[in-house]
Amino acid sequence: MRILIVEDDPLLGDALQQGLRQSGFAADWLRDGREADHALAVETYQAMVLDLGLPRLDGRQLLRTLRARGDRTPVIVLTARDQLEDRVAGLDAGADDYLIKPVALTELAARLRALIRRSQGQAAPSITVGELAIDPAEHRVTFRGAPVELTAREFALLVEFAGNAGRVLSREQLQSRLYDWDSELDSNAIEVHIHHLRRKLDAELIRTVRGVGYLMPRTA
Amino acid sequence: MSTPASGLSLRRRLTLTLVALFAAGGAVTAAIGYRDAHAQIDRILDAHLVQSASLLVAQASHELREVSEEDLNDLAPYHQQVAFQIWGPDGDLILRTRQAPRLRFDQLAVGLHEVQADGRLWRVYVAWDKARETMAQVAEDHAERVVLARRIAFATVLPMLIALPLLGLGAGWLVARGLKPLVEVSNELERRGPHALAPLPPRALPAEVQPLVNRLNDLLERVRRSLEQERSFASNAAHELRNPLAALRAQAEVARDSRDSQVARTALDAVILACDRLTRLVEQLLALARVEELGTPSTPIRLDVLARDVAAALAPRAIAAGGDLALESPGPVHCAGNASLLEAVLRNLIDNALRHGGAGVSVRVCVAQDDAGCMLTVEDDGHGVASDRIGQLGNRFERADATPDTGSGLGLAIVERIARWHRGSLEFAPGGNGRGLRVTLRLPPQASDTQRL
Repeated sequence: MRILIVEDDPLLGDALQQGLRQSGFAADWLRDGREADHALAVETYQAMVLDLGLPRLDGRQLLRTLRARGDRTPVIVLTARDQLEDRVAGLDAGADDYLIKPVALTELAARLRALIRRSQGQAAPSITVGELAIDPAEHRVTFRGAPVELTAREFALLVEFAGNAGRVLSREQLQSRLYDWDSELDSNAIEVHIHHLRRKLDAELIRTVRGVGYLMPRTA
Repeated sequence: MSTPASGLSLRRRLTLTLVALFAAGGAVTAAIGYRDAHAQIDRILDAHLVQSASLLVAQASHELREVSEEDLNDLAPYHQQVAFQIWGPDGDLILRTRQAPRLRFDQLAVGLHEVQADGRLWRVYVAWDKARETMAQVAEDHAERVVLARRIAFATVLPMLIALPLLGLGAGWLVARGLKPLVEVSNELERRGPHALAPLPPRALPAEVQPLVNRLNDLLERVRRSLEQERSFASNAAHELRNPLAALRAQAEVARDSRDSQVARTALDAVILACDRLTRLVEQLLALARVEELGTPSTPIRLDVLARDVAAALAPRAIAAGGDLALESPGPVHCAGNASLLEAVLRNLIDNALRHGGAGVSVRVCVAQDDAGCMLTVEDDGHGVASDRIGQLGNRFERADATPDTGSGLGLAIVERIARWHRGSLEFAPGGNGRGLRVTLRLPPQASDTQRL
């Protein structure tokens, strides 16, 4: 799950990026509104954490621009302003959630997961596809009733497949969702992780659609 | 907090004054009435006396000689006021009423007299008949006249005495009615909570009260605005504290949850940095609060010496950052002000220049003096500030840029406040060669120590 953090405070932005990475997100961090606007135009993020008081392009304006061009990326506004009118204005500008600084990273991560889940049309916190059950909050996977040990990257990949069960995902799509700009990327990394997943779970769980991408069938 | 009214209420004072005026008027009327009545009575009764005397002497002495004193006294109840003595031509007392004053035969000449006799004051008329055979001394007790005059005077004053309480009530009512707008305004103010600072609603007010209400509304508006400023400042300050707090908390969480010791270490360094920032912010807030404190003294100051001290303290930092810091002063610069506040100005301005000027920034501090007062300039050749943001620099929490090493956003607000405290002015402009930022503080020649705000 790849998210964008827009925060001009260097200490806080750094901490958010580090902390959300620790929670299993691929996180990019930008410091001003205009850069964020450009990034959102070219990349697809599952969610965004947005500070309101930003240089160059104010957070609220950024939200409005975003929504005006039909971008439905879930947005959590993170701000020091806690007045009712600020919150209302933020939500009305197109935010999906609102958190007042200081915020617990675990809560931020949980809210991000919930937002992403809802945006993918899921209600239950854990993802179940056939005999596969994933608890994203606890980083736990059970397959056919037995727990499975996965690396962080494998886990993230599995969550992407399960969250989009029945849909074909291209290698580029998977790459952009799993890796932020700071990650070192080798060209066949995705294939390697898929290979490991098939070995640890079931070869039939993730199908290859030649020339298009990969797919987890709905009734795996 | 309400001060009890130190004098009588306006209403009571006006009412009492009016009643006193009525009473005084009544008293004057009574006095005049009494005097008039007395004069009239004197005229009438004197005429009566003269007439009585004339009548008495007109009667032939022989007729009177046959009247005994007893006969006269029988008349007494009806004619008590008038008493007389009738004398023969040689001073033989022919007849006298019992009440008559004992006057000697030749004591008085013909005519009207006031005579003290038998312990009383008498009005006496002396008359001879044409033949000079009989003399009559007709007397009347003066006290009787006084009583009569008093009665008449009292009779004229009586209606006024009866009317006085009514007049008092009427005056009270009128005064109360006249003062009603004032009372209404006062009630309106009293009903208000301590934070109701809206202007008083417009209503029809007498010309005397309207200016008062207008001034009051002006004052309320000024208080409301300054309160709003303070509130928004407090709220901004609280919000500013949230950013470093959020960073502190998030970095601490990263350090706690990280399995990579290098990441944890970096996060802990960031925790310390966030603490430093919080400390600085709190210090700046306190500095700002201190400027707003009253009673800070203003003393003669050597601005050049102060600038040298501060520059000496900050130069190592400038050099460590690859830049440099220079002071230009033409000689002794004398000004009046508060040394610690002006030191804060110097520190903040130099600190800002070093902080925002970028690496290798060179900072120039100038102090100068002329007829217009003292001048302190801090100039750098760094990044400068976009022209559209220069005007907002003195605002609290307004940051010129998002530098990695953020300040509190309060530095220039403090400088601006101190400039105002000194009745000086603050000016922002691009640096000398079009680069960087130049901040100029001008202080008036004699910073008087009267009323600072």
